[in-house]
Amino acid sequence: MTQDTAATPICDVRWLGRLDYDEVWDLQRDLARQRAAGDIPDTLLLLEHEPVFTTGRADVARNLRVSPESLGAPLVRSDRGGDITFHGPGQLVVYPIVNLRAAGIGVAAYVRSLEEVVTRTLDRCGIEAGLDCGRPGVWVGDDKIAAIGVRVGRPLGGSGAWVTTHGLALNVDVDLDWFTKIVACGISDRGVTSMAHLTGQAPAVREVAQMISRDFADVFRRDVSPQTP
Amino acid sequence: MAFTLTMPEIGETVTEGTIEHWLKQPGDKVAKYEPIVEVDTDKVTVELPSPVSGTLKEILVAEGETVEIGAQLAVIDEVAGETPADISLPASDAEKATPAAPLSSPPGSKKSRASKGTRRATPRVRHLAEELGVDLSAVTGTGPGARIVEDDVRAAASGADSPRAADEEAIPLTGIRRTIAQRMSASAFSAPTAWLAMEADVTGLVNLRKSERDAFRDRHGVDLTYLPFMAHSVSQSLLDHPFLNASWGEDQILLKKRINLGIAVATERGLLVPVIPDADKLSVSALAKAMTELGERARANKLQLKDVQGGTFTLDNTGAFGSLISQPIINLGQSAIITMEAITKQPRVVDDDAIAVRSVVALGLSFDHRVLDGHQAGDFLQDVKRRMEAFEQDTDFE
Repeated sequence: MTQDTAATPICDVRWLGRLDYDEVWDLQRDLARQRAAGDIPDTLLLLEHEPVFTTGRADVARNLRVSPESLGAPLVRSDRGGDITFHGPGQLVVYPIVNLRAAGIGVAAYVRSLEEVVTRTLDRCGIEAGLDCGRPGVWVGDDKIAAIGVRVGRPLGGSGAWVTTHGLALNVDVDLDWFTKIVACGISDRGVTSMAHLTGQAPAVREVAQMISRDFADVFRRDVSPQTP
Repeated sequence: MAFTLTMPEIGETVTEGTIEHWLKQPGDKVAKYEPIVEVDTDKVTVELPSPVSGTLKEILVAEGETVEIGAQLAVIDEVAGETPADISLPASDAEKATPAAPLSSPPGSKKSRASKGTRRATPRVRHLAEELGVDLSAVTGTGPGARIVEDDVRAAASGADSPRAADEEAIPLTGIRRTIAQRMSASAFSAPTAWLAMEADVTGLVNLRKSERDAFRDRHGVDLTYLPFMAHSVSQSLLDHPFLNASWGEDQILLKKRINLGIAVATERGLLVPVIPDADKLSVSALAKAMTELGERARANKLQLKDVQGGTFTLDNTGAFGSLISQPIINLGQSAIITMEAITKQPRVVDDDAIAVRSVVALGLSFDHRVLDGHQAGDFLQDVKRRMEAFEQDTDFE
């Protein structure tokens, strides 16, 4: 498919299946370098993780409700923004590798746009989600359904490219018991929910991935590559 | 030569950042563009590169401290003769034209509902605004959380959103108002709705409630209204009239196996319709408790999504605000809706051709004429009427 990339930038969409956190982290760093060098277009990674707890740089201990040994899954200190969260089967993880400078948006607009993508996808599934002043993420009532944590770096320094890694995690049909072991995102007075929990049934994670890639393309004005998930 | 590293602009609404982690320590060599510090803004960690080559001389802000844009972060002993790089991440022109806007609140929070002139918009919408020459700061957003959506920009471009007269006030749509609007329009403009009404003599019910009300409150702690009797009559009647508990599916009619009764509840935010699942399996007394509980949660803004989903038929208590007859719009995805109007005392001709004072109520039914015809609707309404008239002072409704 030949496109006038100046008019509508391309975005590669890749469905990766279920992978370990570290493996995808390495992949993201690699892709970010390639993106900064201009070797690849913006890329949307869609996947599930094996069970893992991850944190930003913030102090971890205060947001654990159990000892690290009894979490039942590895605890990884990541290099994204945001606080502790859980990833695992039944949760759609979306990692956009986007050159913000080329896209012409700043970090706050980027996060707002990610929230918009999730809100649109949930709307397709009949879930009315909202945002919360000062608390990134996407909420249904008082419960968080999607968490956001992003890193913006300059992998090649002088190239001027600011490239995003990490992104968002949408609870499709994830076992919510995992979240009882942590103070999710460091917010203690709120709960966590999922699409399945809200509607009694949820589409397969891969179906949601398809929806979210369309909404991503729409919100970010991208032509998604033919290899949609 | 000493170069002072300052906190650059990294986003259009970002005014400050928290120093999260110094990647270099005093004495370390640092190359131009090499990451030197990680700064945390809301949920985003940004890696700042050094604008110059040299040696990190002094760190001015400790990890964990929050500083504003422009604050001095560190001093670098720079190699002479080079031009410092611009490490800011400037917003596009379109974004600069759209200054910081309040974020939306979660559904139910009143905070953002009243906010006017919010300027939130996605890049796509901003781009459209640029193309059409629309100033986003003058556009009222109607999207979720009062965001500006494409339609708003198009409306503004076509002049539909021209400066308002001084004697008008624009109220941005809340999520619930928008949902009501969409669903009502979709129902009203798709279902050919027919309507009929019958009068029921509920003198017996009025006597029953009068004699049981206090005892009921003592037993169950909730007020006994007429509505649960109506809900019971409707749910039981639906068992014999499956086409009233159905929906139109373009090439088929879907009969619902469960009777999940939606109850219209007026709240400050707007109309909500919490659902009582399997209402046909509940007694009047159980319905009264369920309805009280749902009504309280609705008014306290504590309904969960599951509480308002899955309804198969709706009961609208229009009599609560004194209506004598009304013509409701069918809840989208259902085939009919019933109203219970106000109960009033009226002179009526009774069996022996005498005139007596009776308590009467109108029951109204709107139905989707694609799904069923008038005789089916009439049969159903007759059944509801018969049940409502059958309550007597000594009826056991527990």
